[in-house]
Amino acid sequence: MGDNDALSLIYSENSKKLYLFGSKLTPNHTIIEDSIQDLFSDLVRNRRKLGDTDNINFYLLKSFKRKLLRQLQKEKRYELNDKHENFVFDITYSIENEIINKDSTTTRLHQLHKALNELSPRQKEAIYLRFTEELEYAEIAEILEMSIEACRNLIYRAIKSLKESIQGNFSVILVYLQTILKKNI
Amino acid sequence: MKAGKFSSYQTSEDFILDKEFTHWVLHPNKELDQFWGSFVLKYPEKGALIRDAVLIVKSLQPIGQDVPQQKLDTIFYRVLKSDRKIVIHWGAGLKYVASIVALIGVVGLIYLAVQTKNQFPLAVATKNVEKGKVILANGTTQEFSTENTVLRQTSSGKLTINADTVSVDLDQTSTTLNQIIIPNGKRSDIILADGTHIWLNSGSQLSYPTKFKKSSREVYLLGEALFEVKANPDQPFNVITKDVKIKVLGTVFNVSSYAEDNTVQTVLLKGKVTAGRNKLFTATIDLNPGERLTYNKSNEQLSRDKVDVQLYTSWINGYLVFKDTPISEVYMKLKRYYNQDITVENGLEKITFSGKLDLKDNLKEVLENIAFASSVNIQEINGSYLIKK
Repeated sequence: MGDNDALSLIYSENSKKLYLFGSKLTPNHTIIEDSIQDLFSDLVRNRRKLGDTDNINFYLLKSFKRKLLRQLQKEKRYELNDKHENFVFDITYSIENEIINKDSTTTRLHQLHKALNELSPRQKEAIYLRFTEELEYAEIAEILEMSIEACRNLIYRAIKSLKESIQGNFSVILVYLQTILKKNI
Repeated sequence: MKAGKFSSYQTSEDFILDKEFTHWVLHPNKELDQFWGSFVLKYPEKGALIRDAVLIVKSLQPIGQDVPQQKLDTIFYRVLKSDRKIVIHWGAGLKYVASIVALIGVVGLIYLAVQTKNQFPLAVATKNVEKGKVILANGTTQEFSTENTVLRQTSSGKLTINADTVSVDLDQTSTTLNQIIIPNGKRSDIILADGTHIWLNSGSQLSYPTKFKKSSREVYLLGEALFEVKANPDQPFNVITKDVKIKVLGTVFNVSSYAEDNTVQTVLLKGKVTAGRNKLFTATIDLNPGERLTYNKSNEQLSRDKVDVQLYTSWINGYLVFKDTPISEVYMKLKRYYNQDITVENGLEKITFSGKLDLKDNLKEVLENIAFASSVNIQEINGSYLIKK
């Protein structure tokens, strides 16, 4: 496969995903588009042998996010160290469609929806990378710049909170009791 | 897939965090459906856990969002355009191809324009020049005759030569080039507006804009220079010589591209550079520290090898280091440095020289050192030297 064939294949397979990921990190579409262009221009310029990269999807997501954050920092003059805190991971979950479209009013769905929206931006991002992009923990940890252990924990806690939201009130009461007990001890 | 592992799972989380499980939820197929169907039949107590797990994994998916495909096509077109490397894929069957083909007519015109504009701006004019000079973008010329001239260009448009301010170019929008010419026998030490440090060697020329373009920094070189490029990933630095183009983000490297030499050599000390022929549609080679890229003008080939970088960079500190270097090359360098005529008799091609030459010594002393080490004789005729057996 020639250089340009390979490039166009990678582009057609990944550009949409990058765009979607980007739109969750910023509403600024110009920056998303610039970062995609920049990323692929780099690929062309550096003649990176992408076939040798284990996971192209991961490599692109990681490099893309780095470029995007850099652009955003320039634009808004963010301090490097609060880059995580300043971003909202703006995602609308398909469960919303389920609730509206199917006119399903079960409390389980509503509780799950509520719990999803209560996740922290970082949890949302980690979950997106794990359950939509299907990356490995090590890869997610690299994108989020945290340890693999912390990353695994972040996702585990998120999933646990979601499960608890749909498993009746008993566990909710239990958690509530636990917090009260902790405070009083 | 084995049911054993899953039968030990006690919570929905166990399933959700298992990649094999989520793979089924996200990419179901007949085989997997069958597996999970029989799993639930075999372990009915896991049914509720699996039901919740499926619900949660599905709920984690983002809502379908529109991506402007046309925008993506345009971006890809721009990616190709910026590389000036467009290949038409007839029948490649990919969506973006149509838009690129439609634009080919326009592109053809753009490329003609780009190519004619890209004339190499430096001419060989250092031969009989005694004084160094700067030809400014506004057309005025400043001369200097110091041995090692210090030039500083600030981003506010101010240029100083040996601490004297010679120009304040207020029109910073102009991309016209300033040209520095260093004659044989002299050297210079230049810092550009972006902080990039350049040591321009004897008999060399450098062109640069007062202010760089936003997307890239481009300088033109004829002769030899050592570059210590100020890192800026958003604005790659390009050294363009007549035959070879070197792209860098921030690094230290030496380029030798004298018109009279048969090769153009790029030696990398630090960082990373990508170099290739200064032509459209050509491949590039990545260099690692300690490597040299040589372009051979006669066969138009590029080659890469490992070298002792000291041999290529010591000149900025006022001495030359050689190792088994053919003496003709040694004398060629000395000619430029001392701006004096040295002729080598035929038949001495195989003689080499190894050692360190201090350029503060006068030429006669230097030549005597070489003569002693390489067993050749020197004859002085009216200020010129002839090297004999």
